[in-house]
Amino acid sequence: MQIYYFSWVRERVGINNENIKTGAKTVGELIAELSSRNENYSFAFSDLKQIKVAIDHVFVDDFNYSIEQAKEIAFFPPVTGG
Amino acid sequence: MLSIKIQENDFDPGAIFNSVAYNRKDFGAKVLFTGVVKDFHNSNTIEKLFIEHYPTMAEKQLRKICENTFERWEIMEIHIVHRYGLLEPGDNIVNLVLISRGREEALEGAKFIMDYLKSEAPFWKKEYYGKGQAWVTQKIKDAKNIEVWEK
Repeated sequence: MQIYYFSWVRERVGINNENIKTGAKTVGELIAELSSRNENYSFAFSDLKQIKVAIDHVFVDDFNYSIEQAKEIAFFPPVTGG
Repeated sequence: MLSIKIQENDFDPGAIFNSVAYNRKDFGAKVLFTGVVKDFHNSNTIEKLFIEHYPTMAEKQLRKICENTFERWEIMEIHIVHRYGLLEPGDNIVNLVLISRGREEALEGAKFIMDYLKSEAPFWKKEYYGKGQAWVTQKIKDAKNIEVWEK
């Protein structure tokens, strides 16, 4: 599963993307797993109200959403384009 | 007809406007909106603006927004360009040209597209000031604009 990070989530984690193997079944479990790695990840995910999630390029607004079919998951703050 | 371009290079809003529907005579309204980098944010002077994006998703989201626009109004063509990379005040960021039968759908459709682009297209801005830098935060107003359309 490929994980992408953007904007300040990317800066805090310290990398753009990574390929991971995980036993996490939901978005929330994946976030908990990533956060437990080290302080960069826990800082990136410290305010979950500021974290948006996209699974295979589609917004998911429920942290209980299943990731078992996911190929690509992205974490980023609310968007500010235009 | 739908055209979506996400690019680092600059574009010419006037040239795009003139080229859209050049040979058509079946429309009554044509709208151009261009978003430009401003040189201020509250009391800070902006020297540079960095725009980051999520390429595959940005294209898909813009396409989805435009498809919803076509369903909602009798709009015949939408042409969007959005830039990424390091820009300066005065630089073009985003360009929208659309044509429709009449004025109301053209103006409403343009607002609809820009409102959704602001809250659902994966682009992020980081401002560089004389001293320091900061990621732009999403305005509450931008989220409220969407709520109006959802009703």
